[in-house]
Formats: sequence, C-alpha cells, structure tokens
Amino acid sequence: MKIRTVAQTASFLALLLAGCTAPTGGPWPREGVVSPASAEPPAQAVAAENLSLTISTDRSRYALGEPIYLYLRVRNQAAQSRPAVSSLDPADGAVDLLITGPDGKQRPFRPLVRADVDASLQVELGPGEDIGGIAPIFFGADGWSFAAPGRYGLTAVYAVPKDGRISRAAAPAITIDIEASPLGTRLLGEDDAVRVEVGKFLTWQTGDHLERGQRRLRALLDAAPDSLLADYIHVAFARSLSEPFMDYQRGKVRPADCPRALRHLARVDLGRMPAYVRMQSALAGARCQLLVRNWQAAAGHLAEARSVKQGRPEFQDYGERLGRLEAYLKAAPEAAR
Amino acid sequence: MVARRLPSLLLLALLTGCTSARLEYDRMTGTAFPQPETVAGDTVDFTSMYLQGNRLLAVLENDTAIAPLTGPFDPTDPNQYDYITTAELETLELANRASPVGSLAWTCSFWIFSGTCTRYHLYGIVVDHYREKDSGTRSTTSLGLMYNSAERRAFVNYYKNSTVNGDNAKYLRSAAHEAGHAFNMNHCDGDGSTTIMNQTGTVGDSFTYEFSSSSLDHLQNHDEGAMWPGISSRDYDCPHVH
Repeated sequence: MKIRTVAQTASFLALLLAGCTAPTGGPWPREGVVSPASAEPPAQAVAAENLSLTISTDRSRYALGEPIYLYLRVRNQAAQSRPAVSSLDPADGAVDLLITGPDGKQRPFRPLVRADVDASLQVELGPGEDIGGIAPIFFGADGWSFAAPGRYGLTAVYAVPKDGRISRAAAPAITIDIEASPLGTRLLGEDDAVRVEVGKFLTWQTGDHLERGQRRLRALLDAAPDSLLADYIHVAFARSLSEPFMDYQRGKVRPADCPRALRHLARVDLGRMPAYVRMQSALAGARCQLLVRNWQAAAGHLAEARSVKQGRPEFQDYGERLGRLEAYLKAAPEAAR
Repeated sequence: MVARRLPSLLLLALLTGCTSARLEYDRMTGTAFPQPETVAGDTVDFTSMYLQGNRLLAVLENDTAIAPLTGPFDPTDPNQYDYITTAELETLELANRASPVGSLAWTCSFWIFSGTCTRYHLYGIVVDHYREKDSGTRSTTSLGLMYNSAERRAFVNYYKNSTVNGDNAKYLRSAAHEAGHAFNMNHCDGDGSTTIMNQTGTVGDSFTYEFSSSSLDHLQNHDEGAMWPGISSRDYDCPHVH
C-alpha cells in the first residue's frame, strides 16, 4: 500500500515537474502532444495568376500625425473567373500590408484586430471585375506607423487560400513623404498611453472610454482650430457623436448628439480631406440631418457620399448604408414636399 | 493505475501547473459557450487542442449574465444595437474582465518541490451582437475577432453570426482559432489546409481540431515571450519559422 502511494506521488510529481519545465516539447504530457513533424504542413504559396493588386493614397505628402488611408484594388485580368476573397480589410486576413521606414527596414503593418470569417467572403471574381477596400494605416497594433518625418515605402500582398494552396499577388510599391509638423509632434505627444488613445480614437472615430486621448485632441482643437489636423479631429468627433455608443463600462448607451456632431462638421474644410474622411463626414452629416429633419442638408450630404463612391470599388462596403439613408430620405413625407 | 488516473492528474496539473494559461470566458445572456465535441471517441475542447502544442490552457467560464445594452430607437438604423464596434468591445472588457493582463507569478511548493509558477491570462467574451464594420454596417460574415493585437489579450465570438449560433463544431474551432491569435499564431500558419489557424471560411466543412506543423512548431519552440497571451504584440512571420 505504502509503496503504491509513494509510486503514485512520485509519478504525479514527475508529471507536475515536467509540466512546469517542459514547455518546449519535453517528455510530458505525451498524451495529446503532437510532434510538428507529424502534423499537416502549412499551405504552399504560389503566385496568383491574373489577379493584380494595386494600392494608392490620396496624396504623396503628409504632415506628421495626419491620418493616412490606403486604397486597395484587386482586378481579375483573366478571361475566366478566379477564386477571390471579397474583403480587403487587413483585419479579415486576405491582405498583409508592409511599410518600409526611412531607415530602409521593412515592417509588417499589424492591424488593431484580426477576424475569423465564414465562407461568404470566398467569391468568384469575374473577368475584368474589381474588388476594393480601404485600410487606415497610420495607426495599428504597434502604434503610429509614421511617427517620424521621412520617406516611407508601402506595399501589400493579397492572399487567396484555396485547395491547400495560397495564391499571392503583391502590389507595386508606392512611397509617401512625411513632413515635420510641430502640431503633429504635439498630437503624438510623449505619453505612450495617451498616444495610443489618440491613435485609436482617430482610427475608429469613436470610443467614449478613450478619455485621455479625447482630451489631447480637444486641446489641439483649441490651440490650432483652423489647422489641417483640426479637420480630422472634428470629423472623428462628429462621427462619434452622430452614433450612440454602447458603453459597457458605464452600463448604459450614450445616445447620439446630432447638434454637437453637426457643429463639428461645420468647421471642416472637406476640400483638403482624404476621400475616406469625406465619405465618413458625409454619412455622419446625412444621418444627423435626417434625424433633425433637415431634409435639404441631408440630401446634400448624401450627394457628397454618392460622389465620393462613384467609380471607386474601394467604397463598395458603403453602398448598403448609403442606400439605407437615401431610402429613409425618400420615404420621409415632409421631404417629398 | 497511473494511466487510469492520468485525466485527474492532468486536471490537477492544469489547475496548479507551473506555467500555464487561463482563459477567462464571459458571455452575454442569450448566448452559449462553445461546447466540447467528440471526435473518434475523444473529447475535444480548448485544453485538448492546446495540449497538442504542449501548452496548458485552462478555461474558466466566469460571468454568464452580461446583458446586452440597448438604447433609443433610431429610425435611420432600426438594427443599431445588433452590432458592436471594437471600441465598445473594449468597454465590455474594462467592465467585466476579472483577470489581469499579462502574467502572474507566485511561489509554489508541494512536498519536495518548490519553485515559481506562472500563469498567463486571456479574456474571451461571447456577445449577442454582430461585428460592426468600418462602413457602419453589420458584418454577418465575422465569427470572431481578436481585438487587441497590441497585447494579444482578448477575443470575442459574435453569437448573432449564424455559424456561431447554429454550428457548434465550427464555433468551437473558431473560438480556438481566436485564442490561437492570442498565442501569436497567424492565418498563414494553417492557410490552405484543414487546421485550426485557417479561417473558418477557408476550411469550409473540411476541418480538423488540429494545428499545422507550423503552428505546433510555434507553440512548442518559439520564444516564450512571443508565445504566451497578453505580453507582446503579434508578429507576422508567415509561416512561423523557428
């Protein structure tokens, strides 16, 4: 009996010790552990035939701290349909972005989130058809992508997994120049935690819990109300305020505040804003004008959104929302008069 | 005798194991956690899947009564509260996460053994929402998301997604997949085949609860600081090479 107890205890301790010290394929636990040599190998990567990926930005020169958006377009150049992934959002996994810094080193851009998606994103792309998408690349999991002045190279890789292989198409690289800006330096600041909150708020254009980041942004609005960066900040606040926010930290929904949102939008010089920001501004403005029953102004914002979307597959995702707001305007009895 | 007791010993080791990870799993009312599946007579769950990589991952099902928030009706968007933004997810974690971000270390001793135990923490939550896309519309295609790539600390399952609420087998693999991102694994560690780090849409109905050789190599051989959840940002070497 005693021998058996000792044996059991010794065995358990051996297991426990092995568990403590064998995180890299040690002797225990054998049961359930799989050797990499016996597992399924990763898929082979091959060049995608007749799928081209191109990328572009709104401008080639930006001020430090300016939000930068990358527009992506995939085209099937074959005479036959090709398997494709319909989302070019880097979070959905088909697109990897790469940034080469002024130091010449290339680094992956890591988006803030990574999604698992179902089969509905697997599509057949017809001959000559395009897929488009937009990626905010100025801020990601590693923080601010363009945190210092200089020349940056951008490229992207589009990957379509199918039948145990990955077809890859790489985009021709483009370059952008980041110019020094005292206001941008102030926007990024020195406090890492606040800098992250600023980046998230400008990326998501929402986030009531990002209070320290919002404080810094408001301070910049006060300090330089007519600056280029102020326009981006106004649009971010306007979009945030145009929507309710489910704030689980406070346990309640903060309702939309359209009067405040519209005041922010009124300060923006849209002519110097990127297409993405113009689209978000137009949708936020249309939504709020519809809610305050200012039909004419709503129609103006919707026309602006339609104009931004025209001929740009990058804005394919925005058709549903735009159509819904247009339908609401059309159905409003007062608007018909 | 030892073989017969292996499951209980294993459980004990998991609970007291010296280097391990714990998933704190919460869910909203009206949702369910992914349930274990039976494959060839064996039970498959988070723990058994990660044991393939010689990693101990214990699951603590914690809060199961988080009520989804709703607000004033929006005539321009009647489904406004059906979907949730990443920013709103962050407030969910702030409100409900009980475990720390990163690791906890403590001195542990048992009989003649004395040493330091370390546990890494991961947070998961099942929400009764769809994912909200940047376009302000709902994504019916997203099953889940690791939403803090900077620290690899948390993931979400979208229960309104029809696969999540209607196909437990895929729901389980999707949840393990998101946890895999927290363990710093990439889609390219499995893409194109049947394994866990493939996206659910890629594998379709041909999937296993197994990791690819690249994923296993990562789990078993990568530097610890680049593997356990909650301690560093994701890396994107594709596939992982060690």
